[in-house]
Amino acid sequence: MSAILKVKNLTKHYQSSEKSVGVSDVSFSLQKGEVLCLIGPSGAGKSTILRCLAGLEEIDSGEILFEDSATFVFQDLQLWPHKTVLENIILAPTLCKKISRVEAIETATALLKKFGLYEKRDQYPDFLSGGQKQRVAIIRALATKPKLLLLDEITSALDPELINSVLNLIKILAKEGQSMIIATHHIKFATEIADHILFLENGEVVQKSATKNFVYAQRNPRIRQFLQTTTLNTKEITIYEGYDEFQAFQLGTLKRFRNGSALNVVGSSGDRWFECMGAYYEQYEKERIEKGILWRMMMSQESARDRDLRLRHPQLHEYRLLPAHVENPANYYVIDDVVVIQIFGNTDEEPAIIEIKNSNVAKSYQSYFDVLWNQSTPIE
Amino acid sequence: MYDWDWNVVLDYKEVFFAGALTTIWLTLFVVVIGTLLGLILGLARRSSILLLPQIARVYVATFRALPILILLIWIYYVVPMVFHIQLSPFYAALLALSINLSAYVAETVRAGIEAIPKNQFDSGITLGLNRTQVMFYIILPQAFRSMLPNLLSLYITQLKNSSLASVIGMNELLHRSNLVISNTYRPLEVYTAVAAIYLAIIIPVTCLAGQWEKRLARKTKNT
Repeated sequence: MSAILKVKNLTKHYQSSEKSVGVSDVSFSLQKGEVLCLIGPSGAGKSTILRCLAGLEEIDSGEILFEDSATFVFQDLQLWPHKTVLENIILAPTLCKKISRVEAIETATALLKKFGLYEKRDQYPDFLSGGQKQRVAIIRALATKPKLLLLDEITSALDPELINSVLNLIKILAKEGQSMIIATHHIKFATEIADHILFLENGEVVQKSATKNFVYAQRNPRIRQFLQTTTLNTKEITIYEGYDEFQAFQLGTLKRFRNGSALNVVGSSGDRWFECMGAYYEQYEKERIEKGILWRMMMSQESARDRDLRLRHPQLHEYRLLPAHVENPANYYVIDDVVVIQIFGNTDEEPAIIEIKNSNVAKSYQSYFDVLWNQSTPIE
Repeated sequence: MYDWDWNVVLDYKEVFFAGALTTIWLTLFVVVIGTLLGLILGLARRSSILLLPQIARVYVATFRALPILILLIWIYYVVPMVFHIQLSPFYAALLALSINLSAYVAETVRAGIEAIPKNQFDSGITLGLNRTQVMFYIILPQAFRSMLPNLLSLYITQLKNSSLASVIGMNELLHRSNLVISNTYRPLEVYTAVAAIYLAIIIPVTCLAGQWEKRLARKTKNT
């Protein structure tokens, strides 16, 4: 695979009233079909990079090597209020790509149907909900068949319950091989969708890493600090790293469950969980069986060990297969107002746990679980 | 006690009718030419071409400052002396009123465009439209909505301003009415009739304009 985009030493500064803002010396490349998330505090330069890539800003120095067009979806969407949803979508294809109106409408209709907005095609944008507007903005960009889609903080203005609909859309696009660069401060989303994460601060790249290394193998103190403070405050988020802490956490958590309750888990990772629990697995399992805690778990594939467990205690294991469109979801469970995200890593990496104590976050994770559960199929 | 005689008005109804038609025609031409010219000037004020914004600015400032009557007389009497071109009263009036209207339209267009967020412009560019397409398909249609009330009131003012053309002998409503007065010596009846005719033209136009604004506003929640 070859890079479709190369950015070399990109520098762009604006003179704002107090200090100079922008980005310095940013370099990265993007492969075809890759999803790159730009993460960092506000003012880090995420939007600046996207605006430069979209050709909306003249760069001070450096190079952007890109052969085709990139289409930019703005943070505030910028739908055209005087045009209906359909007109918003077909204007650019008919004007710029010299596609006939009929053909443009066909493409637009297919996209609208795919993303559940066909009924809204003749509405004006002001009469759509926030989530619908978001999807229309993305569809409008997709209708121009861009080689690269640039999304700037598109979920920032949405209520938590609306975010999922937009995120699911983006996941579908990622699966279909759409190359994307996404600026976001939504870490969970970034870790679910991105192939790589570029962490920026004060206009400079602090780190570019593969997503799986970003959260749990995070050695950079600045990023760790950011991971802990973003969108949630420090008191709400705790990270447990390494085998010892992982095991201690699991055993401690088990005690918080009432007898006979259920543990709803998204995304099993085969036998890795058993590995991570190491010598403490026996103890955990014994206590769990005694308390009669049910594992309601969704997985991509049932491992031999899981199957063995299930057959031994059928009443304590309700396993289901994840819906096909969900690949490698975050592995998590929710207890009351707490979300527990488990990060296993490969055998050569230490596991970690991110614990989020926030009732709104817990609710949104739980509702995502419920949605997936309804779409999943029981393992018999 | 004044003895009203409305037969005068009825006797000359064809004259009034012809005068009203001329007034309407003149106004329509002025509106079309003045708006186009104003649009070009308004766009020129935001152009990046060297000196074009400055020229447009001087034009707008000058012709907004100049009373229409002075402009009209100057075009009708001074232009022929300086340039050796004699304009008919109709063309002189058309030119003067159009120039005046264009200066006001230019300001309205500029303000309307500036009220549209810059990102609306950028959103078109990033989807592949060129600057002209963005202006005509995205910016101007939206700006038009905020410009509309202002434009309509400018147009209605133009209809009234057209009566100034009577001073250079153009055959519009007021001028013809003056001729009727000199034949009949019935100024009160004639001027009352003229007032009624202006009202009969302007009030329906104002109502239609209001309807149009409402229809456009229905597309958005907040306007």
